[in-house]
Amino acid sequence: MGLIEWARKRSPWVLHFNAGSCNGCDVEIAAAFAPRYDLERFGVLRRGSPRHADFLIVTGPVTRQVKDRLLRIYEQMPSPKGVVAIGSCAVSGAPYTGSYNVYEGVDKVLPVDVYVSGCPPRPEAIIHGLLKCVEGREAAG
Amino acid sequence: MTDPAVWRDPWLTERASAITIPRDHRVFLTVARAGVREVLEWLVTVQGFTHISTITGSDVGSELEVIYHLAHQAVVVSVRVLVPKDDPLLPTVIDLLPGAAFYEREVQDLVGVVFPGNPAPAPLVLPDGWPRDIHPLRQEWPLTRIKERLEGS
Repeated sequence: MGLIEWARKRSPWVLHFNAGSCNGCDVEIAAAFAPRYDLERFGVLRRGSPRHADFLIVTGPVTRQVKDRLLRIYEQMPSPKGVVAIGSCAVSGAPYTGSYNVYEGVDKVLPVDVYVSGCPPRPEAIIHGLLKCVEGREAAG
Repeated sequence: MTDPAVWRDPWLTERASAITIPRDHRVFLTVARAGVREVLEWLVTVQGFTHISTITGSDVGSELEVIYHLAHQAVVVSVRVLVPKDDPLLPTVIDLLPGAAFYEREVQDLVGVVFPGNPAPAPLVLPDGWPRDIHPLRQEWPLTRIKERLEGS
């Protein structure tokens, strides 16, 4: 393990991407970062650029319109990188299963590391999912 | 407030094949395609219905049903017009109701009614690269057929 990999094991910076979400999950993510739950105490910071991000947190079922943008954002992230699917839509498409303009879940277009289900998931669940990501990275060495 | 007697105006009854008023402030008009612009113009300029809430389109078999929903104060008027599927044309109304521009494009995308005269008829709600001949709310395009077509190509 090089110095940079060692330094990036903790304090994951995340990029949040809305891939067709109704905003329910997005507002729970906002709540997870707000003072009551305060994800920043684990060193998790939201970034505005995929080039600064270790993890991509995706909400929404991935619409056809947004798929190419999502892939482009993912490809701009430096490795090692992870993807967290937040909410039932991002996990499986949920109510949009079978629709003509969605891909029924983030894992149809990207490799997903952690699934956080719920409609919307509570901030505790989102925090748990992100900490699982950190644990996975530590275990991988 | 629009006087209820307006809906018994002979000018209107001549042009509307059905006028139903199920309750106060709610009016449904059925007009022929040839008369739709004339009736909408009358509603806008004479009766003051300058707000269009939306245009809905649906597939009712061999025909497509387009409904213009107009509002003025507490009164809501829905103007219903049927167009044949093999000739799905309706004149644009955006010179009368500028707010109709996006609604016409939405109905064009999803149901396949074409509005000649709309200056910017580009697709609005369907994803980039969507085949122009697939109108997802048409009955001849069930989800399975759309999926086969999109995944086959």
